[in-house]
Amino acid sequence: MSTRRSHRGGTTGRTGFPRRAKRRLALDGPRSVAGPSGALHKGRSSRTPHPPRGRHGAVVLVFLVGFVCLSGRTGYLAVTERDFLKEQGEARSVREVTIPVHRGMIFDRNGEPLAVSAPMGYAWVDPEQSMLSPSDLQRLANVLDLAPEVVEQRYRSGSKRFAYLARRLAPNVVRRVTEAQIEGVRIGREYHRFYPAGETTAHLVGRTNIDDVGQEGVELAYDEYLAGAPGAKRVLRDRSGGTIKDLDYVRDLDYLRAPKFGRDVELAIDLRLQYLAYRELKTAVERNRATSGSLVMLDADSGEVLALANQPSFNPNAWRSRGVHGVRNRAIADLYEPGSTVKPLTVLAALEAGTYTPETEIDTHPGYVRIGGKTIEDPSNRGRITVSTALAKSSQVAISKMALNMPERAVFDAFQRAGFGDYTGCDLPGEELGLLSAADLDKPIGRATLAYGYGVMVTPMQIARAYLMLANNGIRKDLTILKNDVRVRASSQPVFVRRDVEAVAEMMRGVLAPAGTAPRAQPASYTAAGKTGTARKVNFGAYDERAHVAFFAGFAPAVEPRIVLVVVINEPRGAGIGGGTVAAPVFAAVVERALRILGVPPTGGSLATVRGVSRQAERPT
Amino acid sequence: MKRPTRGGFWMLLGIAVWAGIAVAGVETARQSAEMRDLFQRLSTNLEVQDRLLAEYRLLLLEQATLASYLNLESVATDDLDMRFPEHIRRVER
Repeated sequence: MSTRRSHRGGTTGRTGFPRRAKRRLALDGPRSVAGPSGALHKGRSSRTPHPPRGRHGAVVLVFLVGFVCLSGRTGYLAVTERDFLKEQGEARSVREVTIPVHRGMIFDRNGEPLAVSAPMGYAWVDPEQSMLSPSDLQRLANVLDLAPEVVEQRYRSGSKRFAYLARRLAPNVVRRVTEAQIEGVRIGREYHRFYPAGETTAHLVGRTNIDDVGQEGVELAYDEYLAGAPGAKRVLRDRSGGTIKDLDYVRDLDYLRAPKFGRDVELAIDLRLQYLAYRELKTAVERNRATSGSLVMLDADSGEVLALANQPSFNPNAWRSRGVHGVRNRAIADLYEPGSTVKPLTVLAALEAGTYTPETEIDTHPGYVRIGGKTIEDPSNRGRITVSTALAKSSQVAISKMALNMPERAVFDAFQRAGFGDYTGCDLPGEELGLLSAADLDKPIGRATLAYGYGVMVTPMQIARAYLMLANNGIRKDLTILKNDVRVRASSQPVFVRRDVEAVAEMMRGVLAPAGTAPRAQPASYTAAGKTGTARKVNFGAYDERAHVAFFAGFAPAVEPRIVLVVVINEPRGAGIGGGTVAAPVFAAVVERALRILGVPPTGGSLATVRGVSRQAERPT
Repeated sequence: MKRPTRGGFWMLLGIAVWAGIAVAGVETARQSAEMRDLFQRLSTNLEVQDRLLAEYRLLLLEQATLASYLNLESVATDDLDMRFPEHIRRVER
């Protein structure tokens, strides 16, 4: 406060009052004020317009303190209680809602759908919130076309807050439930998997369970890729539970729970070839009264699986009705002793060792040979035959003698390089590794039996991979069920000399010749190369004379092959039991039509053509 | 021109800070509202996409089921009485 000295001496304030009087004024309040002239003024003087400073300051102070307190409290709550208050506020109006995602589709190589998820509904109830009366249950049972007891049992057996009343409801049933307007019954949406090709592709595509989770086949192998991930969002709800507004995706730490839709998978299989393979295999299994059968078809260039069929099969659209028997993917899960189908690999090992050529003669007289106390015999005494004839006639004696005339590990190494005892790379779940052991190689009988396909266990898929190597001039490739899988190119590696493989492929054509073991495997319009196999099965620790497995494996056309095919018929009980009579006709029928479907021009075969003259031939199979 | 006093400077600075805070607050609220609006539109679009996709899948399923080879063969043999020829013949011209 500034002061100035009065011209009459003494100190005065800004108002002109002497300081002493002013102090008194402040003490006395508004009751009485004595002016400099000595007169008394009642109340505020007209010459003093400013309010008293102390009161003004007090009011400002009160407001200031109040403001500071409120600001401080607000800040305190905003900093220390923020999450709690936010949570409490949102708990009254904001809800988290799951965003369902649909599973990706599975297509064949031409875009034909093999597995499609379609939206369906489910009816549920919150038993704590809604009490369903007997009449409600009756109405619901009528709408759902279920017995009232079933509906009531489901209503009672759910948890306190959630009970499924029915699942997988078709859109028309959902509409009926909605129209029934039963208090407390709510409808949710879920997806159900459908397989248009049914049992034709069942083992390859697999199936999902009721919650749309992959259980077998491609559905299981690529489950993560197909399934995606459901998202979650925060929504503003009104009192009745209806959504007013979507607010944001739910955040888990820094992770935003946006929905990730399942991606589609494009398989290498061709549905046309798959159906053809399935039908021919089924016919052969039924005709021969066999226990089971498998067929694998590969693209000879890319190693892609064009078809994979098994018998018995199952319907993935109604998988509850299946028997356990039919679910097994036998092409990758069943192990067999391959029998004579491995003889081309034995011959390949012999050519590689340099001890034999295709023209080398082997004496099979008198039609059997004794090795280590065991007798190995041919059906007849074939005398001196060349290696080519030994393969075409599938001579056990000749092949055994060849095996004993090679380094101990030669045949074993050839099998190993062909992919036996190793995964094929097809990614299908449940694939068996097989059995390839070097334990008996020090015994002559062990080497001999290995050379004609006993003492080694393989899957049909492994045989197909070995024949793929033969069709590719000695280049081994991994197999794949995906279209344009870049991994196959990366896995390609030469494991045999091209010249030797070409020689073996040429010898394998003799198997389909009239003098070979499988003239019925010869397609009408195409050249082909292959090998039969007939292996006895082990039952109760010994080879069963009555139980056999019939094989035929090969590729076509013989030059620049397009497809590799393996047919396995397990325990045929018809007129024939051998690969040449049971499996070979399936090979011929499938190759003939498959190559035609693929647009391959005829390359020869059993149906000779004379220009301008047509001839008729019996339909294969 | 009169130079602002020291008190005036601080007052101006205070006002500027307050104004800045107020503008930032309003802008934050505006952006938040816009984000919610965009999210609302995204949700709506996703729902539409989902509905259309569901319809597409149903139609695809129907088409694939009708065109399945099992069904075709059954129709060909049972309804149309078609038979595979007993003999195949190749004619070269």
